[in-house]
Amino acid sequence: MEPISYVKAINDYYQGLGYPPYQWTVNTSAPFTPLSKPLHKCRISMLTSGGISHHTREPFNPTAKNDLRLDEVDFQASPSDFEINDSYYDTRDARKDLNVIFPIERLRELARDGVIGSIAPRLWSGFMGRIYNRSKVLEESAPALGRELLRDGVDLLVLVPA
Amino acid sequence: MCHVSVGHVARIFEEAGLPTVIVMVRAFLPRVAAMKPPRVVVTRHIMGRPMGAPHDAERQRQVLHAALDLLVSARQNGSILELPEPYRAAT
Repeated sequence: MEPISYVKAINDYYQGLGYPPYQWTVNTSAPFTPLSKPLHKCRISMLTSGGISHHTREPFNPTAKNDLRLDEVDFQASPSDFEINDSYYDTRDARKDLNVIFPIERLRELARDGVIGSIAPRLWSGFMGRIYNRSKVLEESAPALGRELLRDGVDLLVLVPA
Repeated sequence: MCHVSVGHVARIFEEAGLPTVIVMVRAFLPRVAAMKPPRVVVTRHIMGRPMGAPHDAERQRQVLHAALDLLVSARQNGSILELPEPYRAAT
């Protein structure tokens, strides 16, 4: 069986709906900040773009475009207390076990075992699919999240896109 | 385009002095690699299952460990680590 070319399939799909070709970003260099302390002293936060929401909140709109909503997730939350709404990927397995896309229990195990120092009180869910408004992300949403991470004393961030 | 958004976010935080690592499936690697995010761990998993199969705690832990190890070991920007293990359903 041939692997599915997702990027081409997505381009074809959206252009079929009348959208212009997406201008993919190409950068020539990457910024880099080395870790400033050993892992077992680091406080870690995590962000997923997989459309996960705690059952006490509105579900994400699975077909939204340019949805810049960003939810705080309690680091002690139970994985069974979430819904997943995203039409952009196959969510069936993530619905069976949140850790497939948002490894919250695995993080807690690493903290318990002393591999990492601690988990930040707030983890994050947002930046869901179909964000075409690049400048909004670059100039507003990401810096706003950065300030919250700073407030929580986060030393490193794990990002898990869906 | 959530991979792309996450790539932007990683770059912004890294520029601001916060180390980041992205964990993702291989399908989007070409586009994400072109964005040059600081560090990426790539799994040979099915789309929508970047960490592994449901209830495969062992694989999920292994992937998370690899991501954290890359944070410790990476000495240069644009570090991409591809994990060789194929996707497996939990037993």
